[in-house]
Amino acid sequence: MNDAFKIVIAIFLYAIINTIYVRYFDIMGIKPNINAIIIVLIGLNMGMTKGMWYGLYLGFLVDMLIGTNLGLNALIYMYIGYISGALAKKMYNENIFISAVAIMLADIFYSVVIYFTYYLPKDYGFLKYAIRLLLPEAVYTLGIYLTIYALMGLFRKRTSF
Amino acid sequence: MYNRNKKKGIYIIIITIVLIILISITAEKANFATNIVLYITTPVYRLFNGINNFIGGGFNYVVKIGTLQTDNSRLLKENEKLKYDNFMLNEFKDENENLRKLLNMKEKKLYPVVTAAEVIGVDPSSYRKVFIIDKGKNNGLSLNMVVINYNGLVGKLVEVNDVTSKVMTIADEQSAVSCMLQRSKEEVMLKGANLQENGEICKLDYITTDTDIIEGEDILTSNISEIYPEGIPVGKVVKIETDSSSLIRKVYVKPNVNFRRLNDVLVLKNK
Repeated sequence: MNDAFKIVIAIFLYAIINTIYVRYFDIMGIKPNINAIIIVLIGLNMGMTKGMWYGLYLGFLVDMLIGTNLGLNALIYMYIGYISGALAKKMYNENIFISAVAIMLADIFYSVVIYFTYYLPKDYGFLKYAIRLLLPEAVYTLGIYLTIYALMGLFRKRTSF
Repeated sequence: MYNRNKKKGIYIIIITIVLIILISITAEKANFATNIVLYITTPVYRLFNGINNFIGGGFNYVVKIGTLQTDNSRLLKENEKLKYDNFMLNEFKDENENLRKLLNMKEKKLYPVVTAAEVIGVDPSSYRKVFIIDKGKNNGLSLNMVVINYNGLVGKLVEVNDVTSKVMTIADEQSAVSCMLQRSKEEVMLKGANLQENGEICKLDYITTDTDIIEGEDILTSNISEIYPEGIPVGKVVKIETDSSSLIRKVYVKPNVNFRRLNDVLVLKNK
């Protein structure tokens, strides 16, 4: 089995598992955007082209499983993957700071696009949206990423002995 | 190098245009591609949910083993009381039917249960309150059917595929349900407000200062709704904010259903 096929299967299983278990991470109606974490990391580590295609694929899966419009998540995650790939070309050197900022920006980008498609037509104030959803979600997503990073670090240390 | 980047840029532009067209034509409609994918994903969902239930069930059993005896005796007592209540309610039902006949009133329409379903997934994003159930067109479901559980109204079906369906809950910002206040029977419009308070709350629109409403009052679905059957409990008024400068009051309603702990639901035929 080649690597691309393994990643395709892993993303497929991840998309399903995410929709089953994400409700246990719900705090005051805010859920972390783990999809953004995955796609940013793929973009940063594998480059623009792979980031773009895997982003498109995961976005389509999310749209088909739970979305209302086929293509909206696909479009957003495709851009997230592509832009993180482009970012990696310029400055990525496995630096936690860069990946953390990229993940936060990706989540904010996602929320802003959602604001323009869902909430702007309903005259929902951007400031209210930012305070209630956009910023808490970005911080929560970042927290989840840093936790996973710290756990992975611990795991690596344990196994290296 | 420059050419390769140019090529990538062109790819991105083409894909973007195709996706924007796709987004505009597939809004809340079941489509062929989604249907095929859901045929593949549903067995995987069942497998994971099965494992989940097995582990959760075993864990619960171990945790609750000490309280089983007291729970059992409490439930037996409660069962006796419920049997009596049920008997009385049946008496009232017969009496009600007879009186209706006597007064030549139309019998209230009952809305039959189409099927019971299990919640298999939820929307991973924060801005929507939508979940997936494991029944679809193949089980006789169709668009706008009403979803309830034993606590009250959950929502309605917004997309029905062959094997699964998507349910929009009443706490979703896009949801609007025609309801009535239990005491005064006044018509009100209940809207989802998942961006306010703690995310699982609704608000009532157009409540003026002369509306007879109190905190703790029950909200039921009304008879003028085009989708929802009359009299399904929806929630309780938890907060009324009166602004001294305007005639409109802000009223928040806490749904009876806890959407975070939702596992089994019933789907009813709509009007």
